[in-house]
Amino acid sequence: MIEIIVNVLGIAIAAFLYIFSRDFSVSTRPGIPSAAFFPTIICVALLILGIYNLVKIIVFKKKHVDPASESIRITKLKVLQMLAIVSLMALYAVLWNYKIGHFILNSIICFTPICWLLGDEVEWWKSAIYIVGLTIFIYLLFGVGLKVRIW
Amino acid sequence: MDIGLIISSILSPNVLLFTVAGILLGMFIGAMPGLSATMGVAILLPLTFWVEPSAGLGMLLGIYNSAIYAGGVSAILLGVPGTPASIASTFDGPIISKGGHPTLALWINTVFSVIGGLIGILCLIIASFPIARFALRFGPPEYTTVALFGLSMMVAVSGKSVAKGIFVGFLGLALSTVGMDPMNGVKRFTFGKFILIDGFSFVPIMIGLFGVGEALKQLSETPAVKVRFVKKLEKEQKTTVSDFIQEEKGAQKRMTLREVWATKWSILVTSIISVFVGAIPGTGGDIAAIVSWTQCKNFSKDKENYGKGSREALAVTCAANNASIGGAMTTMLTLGIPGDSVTAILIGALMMYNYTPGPLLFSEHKDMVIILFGLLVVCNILILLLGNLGSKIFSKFTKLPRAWISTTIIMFSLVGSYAIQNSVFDVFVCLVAGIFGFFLSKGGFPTGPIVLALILGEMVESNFVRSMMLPPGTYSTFFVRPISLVLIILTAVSLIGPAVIKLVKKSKERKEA
Repeated sequence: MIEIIVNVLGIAIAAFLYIFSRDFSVSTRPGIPSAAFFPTIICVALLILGIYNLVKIIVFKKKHVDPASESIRITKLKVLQMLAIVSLMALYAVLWNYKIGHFILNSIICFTPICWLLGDEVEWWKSAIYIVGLTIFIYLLFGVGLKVRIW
Repeated sequence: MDIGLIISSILSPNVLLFTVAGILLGMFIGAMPGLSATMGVAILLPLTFWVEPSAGLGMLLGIYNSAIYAGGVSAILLGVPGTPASIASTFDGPIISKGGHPTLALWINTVFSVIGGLIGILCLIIASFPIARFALRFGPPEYTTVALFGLSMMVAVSGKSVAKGIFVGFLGLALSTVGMDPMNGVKRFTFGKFILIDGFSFVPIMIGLFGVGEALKQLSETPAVKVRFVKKLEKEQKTTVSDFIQEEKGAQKRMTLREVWATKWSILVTSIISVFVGAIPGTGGDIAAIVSWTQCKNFSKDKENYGKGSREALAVTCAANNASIGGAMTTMLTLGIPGDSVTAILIGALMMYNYTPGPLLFSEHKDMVIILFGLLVVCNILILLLGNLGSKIFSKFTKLPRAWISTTIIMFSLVGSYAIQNSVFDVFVCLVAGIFGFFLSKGGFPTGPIVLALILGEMVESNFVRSMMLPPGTYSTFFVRPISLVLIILTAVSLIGPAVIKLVKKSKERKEA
């Protein structure tokens, strides 16, 4: 399924490249390829390879199973876990973008559940202590040591 | 060029401090199965932009060399390669270790990694200046074909999924087209966003793919299964994760000078082979070590013990993966083509410092090239000094919960992406690249080709357009120049070669059946 999604996405990107590269298909200098030349080549290649991969997946669906994609099967619970982690990371980035809260506080709030979701072999409070220590370390390293303007 | 100044620059306290930090971080990364040198260099890259170039590069080279070396630690003690480059060390290392000689096995790993590394650097020093001088003859058509040859290595880094690898490579090329067109000055796919005029920054994508993506991938591996696997492994092997050194009483702790000397030809030959293998774009320490091990097995006096706990075999693999670094660095520094994923990121680092790898680096920034050589030597000396102690300490870190390590990677990735340009946009880029990288690896798509495409995409396009501006202004430009023609042939061979070999193998199998 993931293979199909990635290939369809690639084909969509190819279509996107084709449509928008028509805006700059006229060369600004005579005799040299226009700015659309390279994106058009990429678009054609992506289309051919995407379709080839899709046909391969659909035609050889039962006969051929890619060992790399077969190795790990994702359960529904895992999907939920993954969604939760990605949402928390996105929330963290959004808070950062709008400068809401404080780096240390937001990091602890977002990353403690991420740490717990990433693996349950340690008690949650131990993970929380670890995240507090890690956050302070990163703040001191980047914010104080390297003078990066983290909010 | 003032040699005294160069030496004092390499040995300055600041540079040494960062290099030692890089070595120690590399040992930790290498000793942890699942963490790779590429990931280490990618997520720690932002830290280096805030210090002088020699200190920053010292740290990155320290991580690179040390992680490749330390990958052998878990390969020897657990039978699980810490990094892909140390896969061949699992052939003999665990047997020596299990036989009651873990300290000896770790000693072999340290000493021969350093010997291999130094031979690799020597080859780099000898070969790079002539190659760079030769490459100065290159014009835009040659650069176009060199970059195309580099891109053709997408096939090599794709493993079994060649079509998927090339597909992903073209996705990387598509990303490289965002921003100002290199020749016409046209804004492409920027949608009026000022932030996209320079295109996507290379580093957050790398950090996302190799940092966040890998951490998410680890989540999909059921923790309980993982813990059970490690425990089972501990039970099966006499040498355990928790108390890994179960030395036999009176066991030999290091090889004698005579024993080391006896391996001289094997080490020399395999190191040179590995330099060549490492120099081929798309290959790496893993291929170098396997090729070396196989070759040595054919001509060694000790060949019957290969795979049964031969000390020489372990020495050969340890020397090979570190020697391949010299080869990868040669291609990277002289032609600007990454030998592997780590050197691709190093190209990004050098560019951030305004040093563009390629022949001009050797004429315009000779001092920096010599500093790089010096730093590589220093890294190997530091590995020799810190290796044995460090590998014992860092192997204990394999007990750390995976969740903690993954969280650390994600946090460093996000904050590091921001730190490069103080841009939250880069944090989003890193996040999206991470999610995309995760899906790619789940679907069996290799991520290596994206790195190659991002690095080489702009190089191909700008030089192609420049070539078309040269007389006669047609595609024949690429075929009438000998170097360019040879490179086109090599590109064709590397693209078609694997398919032809596959067909031949299949037809042979059919005939046998």
